[in-house]
Amino acid sequence: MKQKWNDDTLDQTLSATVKRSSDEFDQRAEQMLSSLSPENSPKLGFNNRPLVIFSGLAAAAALTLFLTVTFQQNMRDEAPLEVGSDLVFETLIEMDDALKPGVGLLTENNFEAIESISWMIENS
Amino acid sequence: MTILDQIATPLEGLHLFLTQWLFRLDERDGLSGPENETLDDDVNMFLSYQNGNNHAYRLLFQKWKLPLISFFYRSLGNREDAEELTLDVFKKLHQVRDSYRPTAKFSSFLFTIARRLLLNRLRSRKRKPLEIIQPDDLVYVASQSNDESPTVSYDQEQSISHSLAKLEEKFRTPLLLTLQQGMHPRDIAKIIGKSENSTRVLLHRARNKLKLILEESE
Repeated sequence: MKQKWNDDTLDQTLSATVKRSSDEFDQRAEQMLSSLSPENSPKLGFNNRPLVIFSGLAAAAALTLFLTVTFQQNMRDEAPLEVGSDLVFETLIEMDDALKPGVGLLTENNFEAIESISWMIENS
Repeated sequence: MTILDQIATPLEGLHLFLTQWLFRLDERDGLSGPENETLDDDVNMFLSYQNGNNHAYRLLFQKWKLPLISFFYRSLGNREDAEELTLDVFKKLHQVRDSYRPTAKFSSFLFTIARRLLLNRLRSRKRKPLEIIQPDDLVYVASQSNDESPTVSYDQEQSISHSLAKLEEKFRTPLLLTLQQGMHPRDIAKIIGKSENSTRVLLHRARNKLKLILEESE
């Protein structure tokens, strides 16, 4: 038995390496290696269709919002100041006359606020 | 996942960090050998991969997959486990690519990772039963050089597989790294974290222990 496992035999046996890998291993390895390839890295160019579509929609939404806000702001700025002020003033006076503290539908806080605004308008 | 596995994963990362730090320390102190001062082709290839060349990673994979499968097969006695761990080595290699510094041979770095994964697997007790590969499916050094049919029989393969399974990992790994992978004791010492002299003593004892187990099993 000792003859069977002399140093040369032992060295030869332990030096053994496998000739090939299994098909399953090769498939799994290919998946792993493909996951590292540049083709699977996220792209920022025009080749990435979903990204381009999403960016376009986001830009369109932002532009719409900007134009809407700007248009409304312009409408407010260009509205006749006197007409608006008069309407508010008259409404507040009417409410002031009709509703007294503790009597009307408005709470005391709301009434005080209306009084303050009325006073500011009157003294502006 | 067991508690040991949960502990082993961070420890594995710590070991890799310490290994790289140790290699750098050797370089700073001028203790590294002449072989470590020159970059081997694999180191250059891995640096190329570090810089984004994925083809270099493929080449490294093709070069090292069979040596790794063979190392794990002899260590665990099961081909399926061996192939799974080989893939794990390359996944780990990908994870640590940015922290890699070329301060030692690439094979030392590769088998340091391989040994850590092997130790984790041995601890987890998820090993499968021994599986004996037919000698025809193996390449022996003697048959490689002389282009002869292998002189190792199936019975011998069976004996060596069972005996290696009985041999402690601290003996088995250095023996395989020197006889199967053709590594120098100095490089093996870095992988197993011992001095070169201790590694030489370990190799001598490993060979004697394996012979004893083989003789007892006959």
